[in-house]
Amino acid sequence: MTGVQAKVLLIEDEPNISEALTFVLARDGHDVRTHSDGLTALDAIKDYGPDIIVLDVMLPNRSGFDILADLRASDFAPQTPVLMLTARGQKKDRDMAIDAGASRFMTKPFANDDVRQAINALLRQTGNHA
Amino acid sequence: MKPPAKLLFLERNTYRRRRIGDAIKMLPILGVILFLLPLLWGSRQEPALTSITGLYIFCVWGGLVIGLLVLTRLRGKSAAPPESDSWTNPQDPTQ
Amino acid sequence: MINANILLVVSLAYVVLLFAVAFWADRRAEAGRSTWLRSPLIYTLSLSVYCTAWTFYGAVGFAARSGLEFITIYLGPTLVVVGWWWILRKLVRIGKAQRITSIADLLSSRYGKSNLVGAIVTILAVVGTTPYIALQLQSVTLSFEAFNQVSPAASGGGVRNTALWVAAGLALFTILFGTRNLDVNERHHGVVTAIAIEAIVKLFALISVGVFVVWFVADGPADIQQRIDASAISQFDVDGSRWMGLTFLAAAAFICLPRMFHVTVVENEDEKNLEMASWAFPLYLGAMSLFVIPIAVVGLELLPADANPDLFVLTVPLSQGADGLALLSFLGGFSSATSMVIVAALALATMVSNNIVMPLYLRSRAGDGATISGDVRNVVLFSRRVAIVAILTLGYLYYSVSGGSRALSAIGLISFAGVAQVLPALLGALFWRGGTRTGAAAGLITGFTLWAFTLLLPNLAGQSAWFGPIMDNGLFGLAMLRPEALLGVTALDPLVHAIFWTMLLNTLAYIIGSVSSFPTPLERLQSVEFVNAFDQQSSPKGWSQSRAEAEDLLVMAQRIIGGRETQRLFAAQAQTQGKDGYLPDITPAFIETLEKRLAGSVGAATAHAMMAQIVGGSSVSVEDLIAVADETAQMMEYSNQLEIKSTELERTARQLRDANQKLTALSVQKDAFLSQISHELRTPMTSIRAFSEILREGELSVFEQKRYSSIIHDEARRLTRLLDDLLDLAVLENGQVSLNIEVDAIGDILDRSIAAVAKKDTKLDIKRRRIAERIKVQTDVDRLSQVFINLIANAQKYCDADAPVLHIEVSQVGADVIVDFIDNGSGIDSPQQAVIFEKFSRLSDHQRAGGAGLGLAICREIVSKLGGTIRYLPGHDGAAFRVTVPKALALAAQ
Repeated sequence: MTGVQAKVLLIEDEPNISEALTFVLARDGHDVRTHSDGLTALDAIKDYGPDIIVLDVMLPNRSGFDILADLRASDFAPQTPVLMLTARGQKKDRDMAIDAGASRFMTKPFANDDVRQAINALLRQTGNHA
Repeated sequence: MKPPAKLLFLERNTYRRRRIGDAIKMLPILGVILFLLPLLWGSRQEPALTSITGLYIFCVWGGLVIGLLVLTRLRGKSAAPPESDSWTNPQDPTQ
Repeated sequence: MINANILLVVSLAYVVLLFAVAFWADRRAEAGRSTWLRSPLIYTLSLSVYCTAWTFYGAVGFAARSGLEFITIYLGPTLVVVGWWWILRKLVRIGKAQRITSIADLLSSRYGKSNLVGAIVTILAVVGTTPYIALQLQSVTLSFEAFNQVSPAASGGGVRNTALWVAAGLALFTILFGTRNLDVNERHHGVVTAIAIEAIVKLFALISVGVFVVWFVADGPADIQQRIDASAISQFDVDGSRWMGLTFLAAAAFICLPRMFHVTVVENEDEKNLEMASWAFPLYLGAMSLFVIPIAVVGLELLPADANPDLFVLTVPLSQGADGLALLSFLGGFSSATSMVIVAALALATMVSNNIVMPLYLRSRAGDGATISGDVRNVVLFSRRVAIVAILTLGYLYYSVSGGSRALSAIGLISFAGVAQVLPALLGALFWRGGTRTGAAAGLITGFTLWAFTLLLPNLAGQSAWFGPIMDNGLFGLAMLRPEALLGVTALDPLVHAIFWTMLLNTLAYIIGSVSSFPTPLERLQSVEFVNAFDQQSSPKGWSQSRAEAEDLLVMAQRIIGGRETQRLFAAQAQTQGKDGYLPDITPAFIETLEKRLAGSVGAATAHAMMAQIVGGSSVSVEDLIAVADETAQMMEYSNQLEIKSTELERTARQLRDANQKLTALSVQKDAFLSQISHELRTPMTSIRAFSEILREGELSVFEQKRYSSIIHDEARRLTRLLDDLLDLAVLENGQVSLNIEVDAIGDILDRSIAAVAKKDTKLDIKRRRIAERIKVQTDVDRLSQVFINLIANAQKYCDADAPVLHIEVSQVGADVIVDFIDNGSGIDSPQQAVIFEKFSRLSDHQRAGGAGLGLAICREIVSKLGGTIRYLPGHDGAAFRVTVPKALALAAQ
């Protein structure tokens, strides 16, 4: 739809949500990979080298905030845009996400189109994939 | 409960007036006791006589009248300070 | 011989004399030469309205029947007057400071200028006094009859009308001299002077008869003493309780009788007058009673046994042919009767007009706003005149209806007991700052009701058979409620019995009512004014700020206290403020003065209401209360209260700190909980929304459509379950659960639970030992079953063994039933064992399995509601839960 194709890593522990997002993003032509565990998330990023990461906050074993903070401090992908998703709708969650370095923050439940547009916008901003 | 400025020691006249006031206040109590006294007289077999009891009551009565007459006169005679009310308060502990 | 005509002429001449004296005194007073009229002597003599015809004639009758007991009627007042320092002095001081117009006004003023209290006292006074007025009329009539019996030539038909004529004449006199003007101080020189004359006449008459009896019939005091000792009343064998009770009653009545209050307090010109009265009035009473016994004894000796002893004062001289003396004696009785009726009518009329008519009038005019239309003066005077006529008519009617029976003479003491009901509220008003309007009303109503029941009713029962059953069997047929033997108290004389109960319960109601109610600001201000009457240098201000125009006030005041008086007052006030003319500034002090002046004419409550209409806002401001607090006496109390308050404050602060900590902790918990709820709700919703959008967009294979719809369906069910669990938990945690207790065997409960869970193709193998499961429990079976279902379902979901087995073991330890659920899975790690019963403590790897992590939390709540515990049981290979249900109520099986 937008012409921007990218490698998307979906770090989300809820399988149904993963499946839905994978379906939607794959339909847009993205190359989507999923990962469901917090502890090994960084390894997955390193392995895959995504253009953009969709990161859930509440993950088993490790919180999304911690993963994000580590990622921003890492040497392999500190600049990768990250879209954070959370089901805890409080304002402080949004603040924590921005503090941790999220590029974008969305509250569940979301409209599929909003996620797609946010991802496309983030990809355009970084601009490496014209 | 009184203003602290109240004098604790008074000149002779004022002191005297106060003590007369005390006496006046005691009179009705004395009267009650004396008027109740006849109830304790006599016995069931031999009650007190109306004439004697009547005479006694009138004597007490006269005594009260004379007592009050004398006391109020005395109080009037001891030179009255212009304001005499504070000492007449029955609740006044300094009396 | 004296016939009725001569009697009439003499009476008329005497009445004309009284009118003349009253007229002359009023004229003198108007001319400003009233000094002599206001001497302590006149004051003392005016107090003699206490001695009515009932005492003039009746004392001798009383003595002829019961000997010396009659003297209690005089001893009571004597003690009160001798003790003037205690009560009368304070009453007079307050009466002046507050411009009190009647005893009803005094109580109304003290209890927050309350119309209610004033009206109650007024009604009580009217009810208590009317029979007494009837008694006076009767005595006059009887004295006429006494002459007729001696000279039967006189027509008997005119006798009954005597009472009517006397009543009419007295009404006229009272109206003429009692309501000629609306005096600011409610003082009536004419009336008081006439009363003083009458006092001399009755004393002179009684002493004359006494002297006649002692020195002319008998041979001097010694002979009289012998005759007394020989008479039927020679022995002093009075009942102690009656002696004390009657003395108390007479003392109370002396203070509370409306007419006595009127002459002692309202008509008092100078507090110093009390000083002389304190010894002179006891002297007067002593003189009045000195010859009572001798007259009674001689009467008993000389007259036939059926002669009415109440008329000995007349009939003894008549029987001796001393007609002149008899005539004098008649005049004495006539004087006693008339003076009482005049003052009583005057006092009652003032009360009725100030405490009943004026409040009603003002209320009916309430819509008129600030200006009071019409001449209030005329309204007041007119209402008083009508009241006087009404009261005397009432008295006459009572006399006619009761047929002038002998029973009427019993009314004297009954009437005393009635008005004495005011005593507790009155003494409270003077000495207890805690007394409130509620308490006063409660006490008055209680006392009044009991008085009617214990005294009035038995008196009426004597005249009408209608009350007989109540007298004999008690109210509602309860023997405890017999009018003359309340609660079975039979040992007391009926009168003493009534005094005892009315005073006890009246005082009790007053105190309880006062203690349990809170006074209005005005009541509190007035309580200080009354109780600390001698400390008050300046009165606290009842009016703080004023929107009234001086002219409005002038107009109103003129209508009440008259033009001249008002202008004089206003001009004087303006002058003290340093202004010219008639319109002073409306300062609180001025309003206070004016209100008190008006109160002198229309009563405190009415004056306050009228001022409120003009000045606006009858409430007392905070400044006023501070003014009260400024009084030295209050300062102490105030600082005490501050101390208490600051201690209280500290305690409150500490409690607040604790509460805050708790709240903060709770808030953290709540935050976490809300986050969790939010997460748990949003997660399924996210899937539902995402897939429904995908479905809506179409272009899907049949497989995809089917798969995605079933995901939506499952997630929706998950959502529903979650909501169900949340509601269940909320109900359990709020303790709103009503347990439905039943008895059932554990085995049966387990059967049902397993049946509810194991519907699908489960691999789970459940092992049980049936014998142990026969234990019966008395508990909420359905709730317990819910716990079991949860645990079994958990095993079904989470047991990760290849061949999952759940052992259910039931045992009984002491008073408890223990049910263990042990599976053969990998169990729960010990760090997590601690949190599994918390809400949303889902174990990490099991999200898929469904529950929102509320199941075990619900179980824990249920079991605790059932009085038991649920624990994780470590030391097993798999997961193990132990449910312990106490069977404190359990029934042993078999």
